[in-house]
Amino acid sequence: MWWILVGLWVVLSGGPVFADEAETAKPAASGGVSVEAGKVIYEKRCIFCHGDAGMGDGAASERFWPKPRDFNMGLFKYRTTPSGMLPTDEDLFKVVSNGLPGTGMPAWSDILKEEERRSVIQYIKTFSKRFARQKEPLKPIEIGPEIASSAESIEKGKALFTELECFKCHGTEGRGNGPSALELTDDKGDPILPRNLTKNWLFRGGGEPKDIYLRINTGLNGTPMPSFADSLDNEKSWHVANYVRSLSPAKKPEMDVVVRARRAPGVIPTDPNDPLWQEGDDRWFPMVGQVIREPRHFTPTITDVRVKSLYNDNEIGVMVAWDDPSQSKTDESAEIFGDAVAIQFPVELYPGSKKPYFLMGDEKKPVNLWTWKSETGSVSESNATGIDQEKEQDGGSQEVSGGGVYQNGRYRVVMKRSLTTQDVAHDIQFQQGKFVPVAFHAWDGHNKEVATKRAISHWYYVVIEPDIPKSVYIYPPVVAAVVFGLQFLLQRRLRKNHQAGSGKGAS
Amino acid sequence: MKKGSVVLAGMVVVLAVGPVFGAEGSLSGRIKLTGDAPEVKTITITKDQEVCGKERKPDSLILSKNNEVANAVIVIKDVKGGKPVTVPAKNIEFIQKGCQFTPHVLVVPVGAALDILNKDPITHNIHTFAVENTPLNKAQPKTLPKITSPKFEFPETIKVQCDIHRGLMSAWFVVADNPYVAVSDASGAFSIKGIPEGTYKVEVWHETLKKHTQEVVISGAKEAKLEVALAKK
Repeated sequence: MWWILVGLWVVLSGGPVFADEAETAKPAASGGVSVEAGKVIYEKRCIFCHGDAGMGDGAASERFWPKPRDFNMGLFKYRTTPSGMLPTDEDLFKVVSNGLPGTGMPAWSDILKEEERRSVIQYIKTFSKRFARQKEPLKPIEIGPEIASSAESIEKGKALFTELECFKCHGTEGRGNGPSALELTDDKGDPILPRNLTKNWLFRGGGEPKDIYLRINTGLNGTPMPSFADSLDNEKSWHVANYVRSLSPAKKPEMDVVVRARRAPGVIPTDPNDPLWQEGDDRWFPMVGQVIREPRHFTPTITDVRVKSLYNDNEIGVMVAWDDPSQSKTDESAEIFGDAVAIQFPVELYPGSKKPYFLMGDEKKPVNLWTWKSETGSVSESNATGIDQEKEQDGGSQEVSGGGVYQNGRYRVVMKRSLTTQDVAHDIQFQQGKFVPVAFHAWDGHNKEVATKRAISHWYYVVIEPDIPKSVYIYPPVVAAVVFGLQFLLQRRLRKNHQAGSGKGAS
Repeated sequence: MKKGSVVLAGMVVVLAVGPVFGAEGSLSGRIKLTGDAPEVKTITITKDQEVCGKERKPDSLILSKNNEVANAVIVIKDVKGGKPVTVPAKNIEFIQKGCQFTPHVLVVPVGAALDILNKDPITHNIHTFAVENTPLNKAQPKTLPKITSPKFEFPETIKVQCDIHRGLMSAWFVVADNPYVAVSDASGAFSIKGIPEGTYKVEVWHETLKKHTQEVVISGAKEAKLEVALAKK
């Protein structure tokens, strides 16, 4: 998948220009930190996205969400300064150096020297007159002694999260699905979503309690995120920060490419709320926008899926879970469509690591898709030999059933089918011990996602692990019984001999 | 302003404009809408209904029965020798109540600060889209009934919004560096007093209608009248 990301970056952003590092070193080497040196670097490195007048309207800006910053507005999100205030030079330096994860803003620390980055900052500051007007030095807010995370602190933070009504935008479980979430825009009028607080590795300004402390106190200028500084003292700030941090896992999930189907004791439930589906580990797979075929999609909201699988002697079921800020209802005039998910398998298994093209197969190697649609709750089975070459199967071969729920900003969808079918020409056949490639497609209809505009994954695997042979359960007791029996005989023998011996001795 | 210059200015006006000796005049009038009133869609409220109600007309265009326009801003531009703005001794109040900002259009003299009050039992966020002044975006839960804003330093018309109740709660701050500003009332009427005599450009601005500019002659003899019909954008 890395090549999609790299391709997206290189093709779309027009930069960074890696090839000629020696050349850019020149102006800074001669002049030190200066606005003039910054201008030279800006026009070489930043102009493609941020535009020649710093308005965030460069040639590549169309493709980004969030859009590149408009420096003329003097509004910067990730600061240490109070709400509404300009950032310190260090704030800007940090963003330029480290980039912003999940956006088009790369980390420049490997490409530009410190002096060059500092020069660029001085130039960026010329776009808004508020910097020149700023007379008093900009000071970071004071962060008091840290209150380490604890069950008690998290509980207090949760109560504040409710009292301050953070859930209005971020949702009661923090998945960015609050009742006000979908209406929000930034100060330029572009749509903006509240952060999903359950994935702290995607927090642009950092995902640890100290970063969260800053965000809730400074607010994010130019966005709907206000400052809560007037309502939070140091202690309360740490409680909220610790609570928000607790909504994400301790570590970013690691990718394990194999979904291992667990044996279900009976029928595989199609209701994702069934207790059987709550058990067992899931697998985490990243998703990216479909940018290979027109119309492309650069800004998906679905960043990952979580997958589990169950099987029994006859069936296999797969559950896919993903976060979506809303359960969309089709409104074509507003370019809103229904949400959906599809699970993709090859039609047949090929030797070695051969697989169909990951994006819905190719002419020689078709794929088999199981699709669930949120609006109708319907499940359908199709085949494809390319993203625009999908054909639903005949009624007779429609054998997938399933069910889905949307709760607190998260979809969970189960689809299941018999392990084997009659329609071997179109359906994947499951066998114990065989690694079956599996890929995912997901659509957030509220994000204008429909048809080719979707989030996609690469191939992973699902495997029904071979049953432990029955002999595993039979041999140990048999062996134990035999050993015990032999021991018994031996002991009896020894005892007999002993008794005989002692008899002899006595006689 | 020195007394001498007032007399001098008065004499100039007397010579140039009319017979009556007087340094100041006033302007009053009414703002209307040309053509038919556009269809105003009622907002269906889905959040916090117990506080915000179930539906409401938007604040963005309020018309009387006779199509008179409320909340239009009338500004007399470049009044030479005019008075400076007066900053009130107490901060100006700006209220959030029933998921509505009051007033919808607030004139803020340069140098003044606001007391922003939340009279609702729910959280609002007061978000100003300032470019010249320091922008504001502060959460105001029920536990924080008053926020005092920093002083507004630069003339600017600023959009104000509560993002939590977007589409329902909007307002405008008109930061003015002269006192010759008025906002039309529910019947479209306005009045500005104490204007030095002269010929000035008057600008009429409304958030959803076309801007209108024209000249007015202010004299002490009689109140100048201004009837403006704004067109739809």
